[in-house]
Amino acid sequence: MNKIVLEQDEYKFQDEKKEIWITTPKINIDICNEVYLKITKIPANLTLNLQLEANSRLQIDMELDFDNNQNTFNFISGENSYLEFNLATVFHNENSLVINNQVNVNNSITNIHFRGIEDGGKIKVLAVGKIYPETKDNKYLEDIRVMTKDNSLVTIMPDLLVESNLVEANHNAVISPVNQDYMFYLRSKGLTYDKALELIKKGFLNSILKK
Amino acid sequence: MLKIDNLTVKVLDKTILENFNLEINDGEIHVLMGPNGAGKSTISKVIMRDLNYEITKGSITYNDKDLLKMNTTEVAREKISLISQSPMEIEGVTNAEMLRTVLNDLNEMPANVLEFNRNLVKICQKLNIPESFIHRDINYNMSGGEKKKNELMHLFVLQPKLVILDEIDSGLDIDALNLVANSLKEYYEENHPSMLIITHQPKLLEILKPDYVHVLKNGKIVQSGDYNLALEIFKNGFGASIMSRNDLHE
Repeated sequence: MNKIVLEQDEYKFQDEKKEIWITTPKINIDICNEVYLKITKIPANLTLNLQLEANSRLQIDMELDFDNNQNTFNFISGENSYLEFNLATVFHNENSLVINNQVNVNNSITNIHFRGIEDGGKIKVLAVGKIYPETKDNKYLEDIRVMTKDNSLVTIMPDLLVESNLVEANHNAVISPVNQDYMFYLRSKGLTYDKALELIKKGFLNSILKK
Repeated sequence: MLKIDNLTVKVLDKTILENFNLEINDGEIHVLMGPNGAGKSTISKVIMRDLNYEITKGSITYNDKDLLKMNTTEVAREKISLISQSPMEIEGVTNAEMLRTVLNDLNEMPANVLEFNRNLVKICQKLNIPESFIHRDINYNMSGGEKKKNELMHLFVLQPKLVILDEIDSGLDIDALNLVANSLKEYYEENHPSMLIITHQPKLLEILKPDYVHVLKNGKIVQSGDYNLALEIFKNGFGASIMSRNDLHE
């Protein structure tokens, strides 16, 4: 996969598969046809505006550490478009993440997956899905999960603003510590506590990135 | 040898096992039967040191080592393995990742990748499962039968000397049950482990031919015998076969 650095404000991707580094704090990207983006570096205060053209398909995978990040992702769906946004992060210090989606078309699919692992940090996640009136046959999912340690401060606000009856819109938000049943299972295979924990965390993040 | 001596176990102040005794010598196959809620699964969890179970009395030793002083990892490293009726699904962690991590840790050096993969492929062929299982997430999105076969794959890799099977037959169709039972028999013939089998399934025992059958009721073994006891239970149910505690005491 080619890696490119995005330093300017405007880009258009068409039928491409790219690993990208974003260095500018505000960027607008147009998506045409079928595009896969693996984002491996972003600035701490990124605002990414992304517009999908009609009939386009986009998958974004991001696996990044957040450390005092304040990031905003704005998506606009196109007619018959498909968006899969997978963001996996281990977060440190104070972070906020805003994911805005506007669906003002028909027959689009939007899947937003976020997995966060708290590592001595705080995070506030706001995910807003706005489905406009007189649109139809759209599918929309916000799936936000955070794995915590003791005394974590995590806020998740999944927000669905649905103004059409002809839509299938779902959201789920889960904040939970490490699953002790998983720990027991893996340790009963012979893994140490630390190795079991490491695999569970890795699996938690991988579960969205491997799709 | 596994020796459980006068074990009393509580969960949330409710006594599940009371003065429970059991000895399993090397290479012996023991079966534990009993009505639902008798405490059968509790024994398997307690041996594996699930800390949700509080041990208020008694001891468990394995080859003269005190299992109650060990944690779950240490018990597993004594070559004791549990396959439960509902194996965990862990999305995002593949069988290969998990098994390689265990073997690397045990051997204190990275496993030879080629040899590791070759061994897993052989095991898949033996278990009649696709090689794709190797890189599938642990039990994730698998049918009941696939999960049990997946657990058998772990068994053949990790090669325990004491195998605890907690209703491994549950949810299996007849073909899957035959495959699981025959695979276990093959494992037994190759490795001669001790086995503690919790089951209600005649087919499994018909193939594995246990040495001892115990009936558990209200947290205690109320009757022990050979394979014929299991046959009697399959025929007449627990009601007819279980002697009352008074009978036992007399």
